Formats: sequence, C-alpha cells, structure tokens
Amino acid sequence: MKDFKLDNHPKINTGFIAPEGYFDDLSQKISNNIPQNEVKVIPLNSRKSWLFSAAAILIIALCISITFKLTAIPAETDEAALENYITIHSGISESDLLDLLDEEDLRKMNVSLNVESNEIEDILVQNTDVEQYLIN
Amino acid sequence: MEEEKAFIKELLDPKTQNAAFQKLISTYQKPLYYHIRNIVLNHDDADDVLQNTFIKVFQYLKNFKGESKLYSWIYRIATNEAITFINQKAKKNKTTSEEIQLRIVNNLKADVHFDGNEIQIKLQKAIAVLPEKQKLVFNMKYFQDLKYEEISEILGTSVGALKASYHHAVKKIEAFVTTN
Repeated sequence: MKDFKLDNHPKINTGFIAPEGYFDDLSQKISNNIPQNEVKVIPLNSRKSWLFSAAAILIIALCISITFKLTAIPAETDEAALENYITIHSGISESDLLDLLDEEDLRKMNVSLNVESNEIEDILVQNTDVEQYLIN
Repeated sequence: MEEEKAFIKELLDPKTQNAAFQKLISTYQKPLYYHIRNIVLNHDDADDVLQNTFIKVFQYLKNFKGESKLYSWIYRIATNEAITFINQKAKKNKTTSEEIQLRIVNNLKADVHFDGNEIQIKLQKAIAVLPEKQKLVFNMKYFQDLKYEEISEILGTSVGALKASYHHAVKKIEAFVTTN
C-alpha cells in the first residue's frame, strides 16, 4: 500500500452503531437505576468515631474512680463496730485478747476505787451470798 | 454560562431535579455513548459504562463546583469510568487492556453493532496499539471533532501536550495502515 495519509483520505468514521431505539428509553432506564434517598453510611473506623470512643472511655473511668472515692470506707473504725465484730467472731478467745494487750493497756484499765470500809460492810450485810464467796 | 448556572440550579432543586436530569440525559446520551464506545469498543460494555456515568453524575452533582463547564465535567467522569472499566475487565481476564481491545477489534466483523469496511477495521487496529493518552486524544479530536481547548479541560492536559500527542498518534496510525 502506498503511503497512507489521514489528511488526504476522506474522513473515516468509527463504524460503531447503537442498536435501534437504544436512546429512546435510555433516560427512563437510567432514572429507574438511580438510588432514591440514599442512606448515609458512617464508617465505623473513622477517625471521629475513635475520638468519641476514647472520650467515652475516659469519662466512664473518671466516673468510676470518683464514685469509689466518695464511698470509700473510713480508715478509723468506730468502737461499736469493733465490739460487734468481736461478738460475732466468737472464735477469738479471752487469752487471744489478753495476748494483744500490753503494759500500757493494762495500766489504763487499772481503775482505782476509793471505797470506805463501812461501805464494804454495808454491801456485805445486804448481800449475804457475797460473804460466802469471800470465805470460800 | 448564565444558562448553565440556571440549569445546574434546576438539577440541584428537588422540585425540578427529575425533569432537569431527563434533559441532561437526552442532551448528552449520544455524544457520551460514542465517546465511551470508542474506548470500550463493544455495545454492551458501552451501555453499562454510560448508565454508570449518568448515575455518578447524579450522585456527585451536589459536589460540582462550577469551576469547569458542565459538559467537560461529565466527559471527565465518562472517560474515567470507561478507562476503569477496561482496566478491570483486563484484570479479570488476567491480561492487559491493550490485549482486550485488540481481541475486540479483531472480532469487529462479527459484531452486529459495527458497520464498517476494511479501512475502518484497520484504523481501529492501529488505534488499539496506541498508548492510552494518544488513543484518547485521537478519538476525541478525529472522531468527535472536539477542540483542543475542550479536550484540555476534560483530560486536564495542556493544549501543547495534546497537539504533540495527536501528532504522534497520526504518524503511528499512518505507518500502521501503510504497512498492514
């Protein structure tokens, strides 16, 4: 073939044709395929949602620590509670308690009573059985 | 330009949207079909790509900034859709887009939606082996008679580069037709 020159040749068209009537119902076909009122999809792994999750966890952690702080058991136990504890836990024997007492405790427990001898006499007269105990 | 702005407004207004979109389809369906057909080569694929193009135009219309003309924006979407389609088809068939296009061109005689002679087939074979950019520029300039400025806006390439691409494409096509 001699040198082919596009400019010297009559315009060549593509030869592509569309099926008959193809363009008549195309717009209707496309309109039917258009999604109506699309539901917006929020990706779970978005940066924003991670930030919200982190903030939520921080707030929950703060709430828990504050609640525990407010309801914490006082360090000093009151005497009544201590007594109740000892009563309930009867497994603690007298000797166990004595073991726990030191010199200082015993000194504090030593109460000096100034009782006159005539007063003792009166008590003995009124409570005859006491004399029995003293004799025995 | 004012007319186009008013038309875009109609396209974005829910009350006038449907009628305006029908108008947009009837205006662009034929030129876009042939633009896409020149890239994907067979009718069924062109039909799929054309429908996807209009659906994308509808979905992204609210993002259209009006920085370029509406037609060049639509053409750009169509071009991208067609190239993506042909690349995906090649990937699915574990081959190249050039190989896919050559296969279709070699079977053009059997295509019921092709009505061409030997020189038209030879021209399509010559185009099929061109690099992608030259292929696009040649199709848009030679077959669709688009101006360089319009092609530049669609493809985002300078007019000078487009002229060079077209010149190279013509030379390669002339050499191919002469020797085959």
